[in-house]
Amino acid sequence: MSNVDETRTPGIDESHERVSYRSRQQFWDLIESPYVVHAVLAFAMMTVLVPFGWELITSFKANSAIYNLNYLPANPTLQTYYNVLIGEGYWKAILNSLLISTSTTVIVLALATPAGYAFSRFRFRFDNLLFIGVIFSRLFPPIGLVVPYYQIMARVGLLDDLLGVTIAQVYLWLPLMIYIMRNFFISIPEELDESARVDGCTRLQAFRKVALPLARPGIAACGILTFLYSWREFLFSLIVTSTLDAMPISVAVFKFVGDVSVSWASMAAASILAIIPTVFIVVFFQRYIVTGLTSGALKG
Amino acid sequence: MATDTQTGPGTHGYSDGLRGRVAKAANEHVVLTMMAPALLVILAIFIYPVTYMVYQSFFLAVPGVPLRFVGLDNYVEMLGSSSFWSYFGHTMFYSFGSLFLTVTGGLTIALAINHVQREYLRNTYSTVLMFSWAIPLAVAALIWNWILQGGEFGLLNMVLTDLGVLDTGYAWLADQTAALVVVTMVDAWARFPFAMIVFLAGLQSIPQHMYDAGDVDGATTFQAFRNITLPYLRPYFAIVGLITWMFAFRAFAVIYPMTQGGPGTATTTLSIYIYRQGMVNLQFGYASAVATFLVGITVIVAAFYVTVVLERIEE
Repeated sequence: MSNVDETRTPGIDESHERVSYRSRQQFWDLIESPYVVHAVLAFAMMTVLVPFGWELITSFKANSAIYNLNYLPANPTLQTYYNVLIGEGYWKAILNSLLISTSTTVIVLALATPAGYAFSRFRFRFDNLLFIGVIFSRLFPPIGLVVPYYQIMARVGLLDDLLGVTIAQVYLWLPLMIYIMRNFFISIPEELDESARVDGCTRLQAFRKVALPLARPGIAACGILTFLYSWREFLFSLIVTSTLDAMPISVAVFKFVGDVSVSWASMAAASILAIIPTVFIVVFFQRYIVTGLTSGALKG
Repeated sequence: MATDTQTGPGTHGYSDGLRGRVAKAANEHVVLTMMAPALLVILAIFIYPVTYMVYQSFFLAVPGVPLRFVGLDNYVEMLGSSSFWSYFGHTMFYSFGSLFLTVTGGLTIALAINHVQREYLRNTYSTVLMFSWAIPLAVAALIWNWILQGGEFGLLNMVLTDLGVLDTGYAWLADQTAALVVVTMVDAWARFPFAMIVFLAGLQSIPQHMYDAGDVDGATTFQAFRNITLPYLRPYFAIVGLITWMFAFRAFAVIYPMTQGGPGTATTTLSIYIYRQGMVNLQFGYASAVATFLVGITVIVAAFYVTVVLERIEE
């Protein structure tokens, strides 16, 4: 912000006021100075990068070398990664995560895109009520459904099954994505659909040939968010799975926490493996994530 | 969706075959065609389990024994139990603590990023600061668990003893009070980037001419912040606040991998309690009653959220 014009209050009586005005302004100029701004951001970056770095360093240590009290590994090794991936079979957990997140993303997009379009374009009976229902199901606390989900999955034989985890993930992310897709479709002018209708398109054709191509950034944002969310998910994956047959990496990292002791280096290596795709997604698709998050939180 | 491919644009004529008739029906009931799949799925995998939860909360439900209707007994037991209220207290501390840290931290960082002039620096800052949100919550919890280990092996204790601040390592997660504070801070650590992103969107929606006009009127930086920035951000505060609180109130994935509710029950929140009663002690009915209580509170707060969000349409 540019300097404030300090000559606005001429007059002898106000000299005292001007001094305090100026010193207060100096304080706020200091707060706004590049030094303070970058110091705040550098501190925030440290709280993120130091834990990440420490986890990375730990992952290059052997489990036995954890208690040597050296910051850096004396003998850096990839052995821990090998043990985790091959020895403990964690390649399966990563594969499970990929399968669960990909199929969840495909199913959610296939269901949420037409539903979001319908909410954005058509007036029908109970439309507002249904829409508020979608918002509520998005805000519903999943912990409440842990017990019923466990019981239902046990009854239909989907415990420790990739399909069981995927169903739970679809429940978790479908309402939010309907909501976000609706907001994206609202931002596409309805006149485009109408002119397509005038040109002889049916309603479904107007959706498929006009609105859908224009909504591509929105679909991408929803897809990336769904993938990321289901990759991160912990609670339902913990409830539904019990072995590496279906367990995703987000839960498998936790398996190194034993009753008595923790294999910290193994846990660190598994954590790094779980982190890599999420960091990759944030770095390359940050714009989509930001659009999706703000649209999901803010638009009515 | 590919049912109407036989007729190109420009004709309303449907072919006589089965596909043509399906296409015609799908277009006549276009809302049903587009909504029904999603709504049926939500009905099956959301509404049904919710109903089951509420229903079961009125029963004595334990495995291997037939369901027995007990009316409000589960609720009476819950509300009369002092440990329930102690866990409720932990939940309130945790959710409001995380709310406070998330909102102040997220807003401070958003204001700071908004002051950075160079585009690539802004992007670098916001990208790196999103990492703590993007990683799996359990991983975030385990990373901090490792840093905060007691003895001399945790990074924090290593640094503090090397600096001479501590003589011996402190067991951060074994201390009843410290543990609750620590899990709250880790929760905020994983949550603040969301607040940061929303506040940044809010700050960027403020027209620059408002500040220019403030400059002309001789407003100090603080006055500009109080009279321009804050009023513009008010709906963003409401939305970030309500979402953050609701999500922290139900949080599970930070506490469970860090402390599993311990030491003792010091970090047992209602979510951990539901998990323990339902999945460990297999008291399905009682756990459902606690879950219904937690859901009830969320629904009240969610109603506020819907009001705030729907008001924005009318603006």
